[in-house]
Order: sequence, then structure tokens, then C-alpha cells
Amino acid sequence: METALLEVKNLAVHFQTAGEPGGAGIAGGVSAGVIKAVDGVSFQLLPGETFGLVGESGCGKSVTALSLLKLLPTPPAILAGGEVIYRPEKKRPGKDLWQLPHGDLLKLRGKEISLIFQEPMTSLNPVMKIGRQIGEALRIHSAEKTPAAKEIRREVLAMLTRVGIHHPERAYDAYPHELSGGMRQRAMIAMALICRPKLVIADEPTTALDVTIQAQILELLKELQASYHLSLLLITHNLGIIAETAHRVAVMYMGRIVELASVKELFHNPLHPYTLGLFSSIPRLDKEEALAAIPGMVPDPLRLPAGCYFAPRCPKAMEVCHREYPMSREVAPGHTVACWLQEK
Amino acid sequence: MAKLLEVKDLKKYFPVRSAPLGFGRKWVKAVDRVSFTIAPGETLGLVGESGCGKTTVGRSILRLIEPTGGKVFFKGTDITSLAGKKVRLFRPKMQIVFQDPYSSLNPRMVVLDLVGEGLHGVSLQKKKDLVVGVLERVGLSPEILYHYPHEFSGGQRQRIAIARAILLQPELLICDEAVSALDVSIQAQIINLLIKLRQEMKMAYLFISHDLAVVKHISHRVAVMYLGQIMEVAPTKRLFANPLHPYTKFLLAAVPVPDPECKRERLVLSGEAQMGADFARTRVDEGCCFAPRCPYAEDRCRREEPPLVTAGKGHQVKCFLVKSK
Repeated sequence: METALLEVKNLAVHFQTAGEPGGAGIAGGVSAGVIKAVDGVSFQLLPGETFGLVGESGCGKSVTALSLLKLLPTPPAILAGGEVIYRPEKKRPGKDLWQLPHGDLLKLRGKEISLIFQEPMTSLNPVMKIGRQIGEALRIHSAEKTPAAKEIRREVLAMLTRVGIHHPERAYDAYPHELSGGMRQRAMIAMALICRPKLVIADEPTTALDVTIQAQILELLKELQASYHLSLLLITHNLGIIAETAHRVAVMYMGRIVELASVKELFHNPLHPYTLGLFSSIPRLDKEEALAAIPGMVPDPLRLPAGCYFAPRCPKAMEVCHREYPMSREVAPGHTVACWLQEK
Repeated sequence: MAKLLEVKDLKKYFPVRSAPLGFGRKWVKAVDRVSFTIAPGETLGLVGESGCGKTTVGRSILRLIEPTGGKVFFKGTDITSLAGKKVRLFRPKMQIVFQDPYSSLNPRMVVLDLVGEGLHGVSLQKKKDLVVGVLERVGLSPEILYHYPHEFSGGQRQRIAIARAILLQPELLICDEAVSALDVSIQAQIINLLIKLRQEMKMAYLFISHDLAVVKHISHRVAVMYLGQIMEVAPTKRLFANPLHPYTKFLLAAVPVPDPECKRERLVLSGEAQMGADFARTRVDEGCCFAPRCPYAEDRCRREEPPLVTAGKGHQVKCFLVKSK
């Protein structure tokens, strides 16, 4: 197997919540406790690969992404355990991003590993012109002395053109509110790529956009990924986007990966009942089928069931499922499932 | 076929700011001469991207916003010309479910009052009975009568919003992005609930959504909107199997298909819809509003506006490229 660019081992991120004790409502109101938002997540990201992380809201996919670069405020977040091994050079041993001194981590952020967020309106600085925002990374991360302003401007304009902005000069001097949603997301991508990173983490990059604009942005991401040989960690709730963009995918439920496989394998041979449930609950354009919804709803993260977290909603739950959480098991090369049904 | 609802040339223009003393004021044509009908028990899907005016259509029908022009007939009565209190007499028959169940339910009211708000002159016991009945219908337990909205999950809140809308047994339910804020597994539950209720209560739906797959799943007919106008209307199967308007084709091609093997011809529409002030400034009142983005646009498309032509049974398209039958 190829050496992974990023290796995440047993990642655990918890949140300390302060609620009113005993204030539990029907759907689990406010009560205090520790929420295990990410609970033992492991995966590898290969060079030049798109790895999808899919799940419903609250499953921990965004927390996973943000915690990799230690971007979560602590407290309330608690980086409870795990390793994030980043190996930019194949021959050399990697470094654990969580153990790096803060200064070294700052040098990596935005330079070798960058982020694309969901809502470009809230993640771009509203009082700073687009060009200056994109050039900021260049000013901060240049190796020796800061490049000349002209140089930076030239490079930013080239990158704006590269991401498909037709009037880069105009966009350079625009404030974020003057651009449309699609253009803002393009600017965001330009910002993420300006330092030629090795790894880009995209957290729901197209969720806030209309479908025709989403198609444009996905095409752009795919094309840029191929030409820059990027590794892309793509976080989304949309299985359609995964099918069209990712190479491998992990399905998350309640802070844990329940199934991990290549996209082809997962879509053709989904094994975990939750994955199956997800597939049968999406309305599709290419098929005529009644929707089979997953019954019930996600459990209260403060009152997780004793066994498998999906057992209360699972149509195939057995006695053991309610007692013990299943181990992850490799059922085919590269295809792991955490489900008692797979135990032989 | 009897018509439950008929919308004729509905218009809603919003003024754009920055017009000194109102001279030379520009207008955004949020809804521009929209016409359609809904038969009793029928579901019409209204799809389009953000800003295309689909929500404004829904709200204008209920007169939650006053339309600028056009007529809306509900069972033959023109509701747009009704004055004051008379509008209210129609509201029980036409209800709406909004997108965001977090902001559409009053946080200070308990479920009993939220759902039963539309009841007047009934005893408390009668109110309770009716509310419990409707809660059971939408799959909620009667124990929740005295709970507040914040105690519920998004899916449960949307069930409460639906219960509230169907309590008075409306004949038309407008669902304005009613499932868009929900996770897929919950979304499927609510879609199935809406389909069940439609059969049980013989309601007609105007189902407004940006999600083509959801609209396909629930609608009998679908209307596609772009910049305030209806570009294409057809029975659902027909529209998805044989879209005729270039915009519809691009819209369908843009939806990611959850099948890695599915290799489709990649159609990516360039450009963006011009909206808001930009739209008022750049919009020329002549020609097809899709022409600036349309790869097939001819000179004629930029000069004159295409009429809505019939291209088959129940299939109408607003495009010069489509020959009328």
C-alpha cells in the first residue's frame, strides 16, 4: 500500500457541555456532560486522493476535520486522544500534528494543509478586499523575506483566473459582499490553493450553493486536484457528491466510522445497515423507488445506548448489538465495517 | 378537470433602493406573469434555484405578501380581490408549512396551543381531542401536548408544523422547502408522511423546493422556474425523462447522482443568474431571461421573449427552440 500522506489513528474529540442538570426534554433537552463528538476515528489519506467523510448532521464529520489542525477552541473541545500523522515526504518519518509546537503548526496551516469552509460569506473577512485576503497567506508563509507587493498581486490574479473568475482585476478589489455565492466560494478555493498545499480539507464546500453552481465548483475542485496532485479530504452529507468526486469514503454515525471502503465498493456492496438505510432514504433522479426511511432518530449523545449506537434504529439488530459495540472488521480488501452481522 | 387553484399572470415586483424620490425607480421582477393550475388532490412541484421567485409565488397565493398583479382563483373565487377579513375565510382551506421548523414555531407556546391555534370557539376538551387526533396522524405521541418547541428535534418540529397546518383539513397545502432543512434519513420520513397524508386527506400540494430529486418523488406535475418565470411545466415522468427547455436540462444534469458507475454527459452551465439590484440594472426587458446563460441562444432569443408553447400532453415550454405541437 502507498504511504499515507495523513494517517489518523483513534482520534477522539470530546466536548464538555454545561447545561441545566436534569433539564432533559423529549428529544434530550439541555443537560450537562461530556459529549464524545469524535470517538476513535481512524483513516488514511493517500497522496492525490479524494477521501470522503459522509454522515448526517451531528455525526462528527466537521469536528474531525477541524480537530486535525487543532482549530477547535479548547475548552469546550477536549482533544481526548489519538494521533494525526502527517507525512509530507515518503522516505522520512511523519510528524504528529497534535504534538507539534504551536509555531510549527502555524507554519503548516494554510501552507501545506489548507481548508475550504462551507459558507464563504462567514468565513471570509467582510472588511478586507478579496485580493488582500488571498495574498495574506503568501505574505505570511513565504520562506525567507516577504515577496514584493507586485509579485503577490501577480500571483493572486493568476490564481483567481485559475479558479475561473472572469474579471480577476475586479474581484481583486472587491469586498466579499460584492461577489455572488459561487464567486465567493471560488475566491475561498483560490485562498486555499495559493500556497500550493499538499492537503486540502473541504468542509461541505458546496452545500450553500445552488445545484448549477455546485456542479461548477465540483468540476473545478476535481480539475484542480488532478493538476496540483492534491489530497482532498471532502466532508459532505450528500452521497451524490461522494459518488462523483471521491475515491474512498467513510460513513460516520455518532462520532464513529461505521463503514469504510472505496466508493465503488461502498455504493455497490454497502454492508452496514446504516449505510443501507442512508441509500434507501435518498430520493433519486435515476430511479423510481419508494423511500424507505430509517425509523426513529439519532440518540442523545449524552445518553448513548450501551451497545452499537445504531442498534435502536437498526432493522436487523440482534441481542448482542444492544450489549456491545462491534469491532471494525475488514470484510474485503480495503472495506471495513463495524457491525455484528459481519462477525462469522 | 376541475381546478382547485388557478393562478393567472401572477406578478410581484419589489422596488430596488437608491431611487431619489422614487423617480426612475427600478423593480426586481421576483415573480413575472406566472400562471398554473392545481387540480384537487394533485401535487404540483415548483422547482428552481435560490432567488427564482418560487417562495414568493407560494406566499402571494396565500396573500402573505400582496401580489403586484395577476389573479389567484381558489375554487373559482378570486382571492386577490377579497378585502380584509374575507381573506381569512379562505385561509383554513389553504395552509402552509415553512422550511425552518426552528423559526416557524413560536418558542413560547406549547404544542397544544401551537397546533390548536387555528381553532376558535371550541371547548378545551374538544381542542385537546382534535389536537391529539392530528398529532397521532403525523406520528407524534399525545404525551407531548404541554411541551415547548425547543424540546424537539428538527424532524419532530416539522411534524408539529405539519400537524398545525392540517388540523383544519385544508384542501391545499403549500410546502415551502418543507424538508430542505432536514437530514436525509429524517427527510425520507417526512416525505413519506406527506405522501400518506395526501392520500388520507385528499389534499392538493404546492410543493416548493430546490431539490429536484425530492420534487420528482412527491409531485404529479412539475413547474421549473427561472428568474421569476415558469420555463417549463410537464407531468413529472415526462419532465424528467424528456426535459425540453435548456435550463431544465442543465438543472437535471447538475444534480450529483449517487452512483459512481453512472457516467453521464457532463453538462455544466456557465455563468450565474443575475439577481437583486444587478438584475434590475442588467436585465433588458426584451428577450428570454435565460438567453445570457444559454449555450443555444440565437439572436432572436435576445430580442423577443419566447411564448409558452405546448409540446405535448400537459407539457409546456417557454423556448423558441421547441416546436409547438
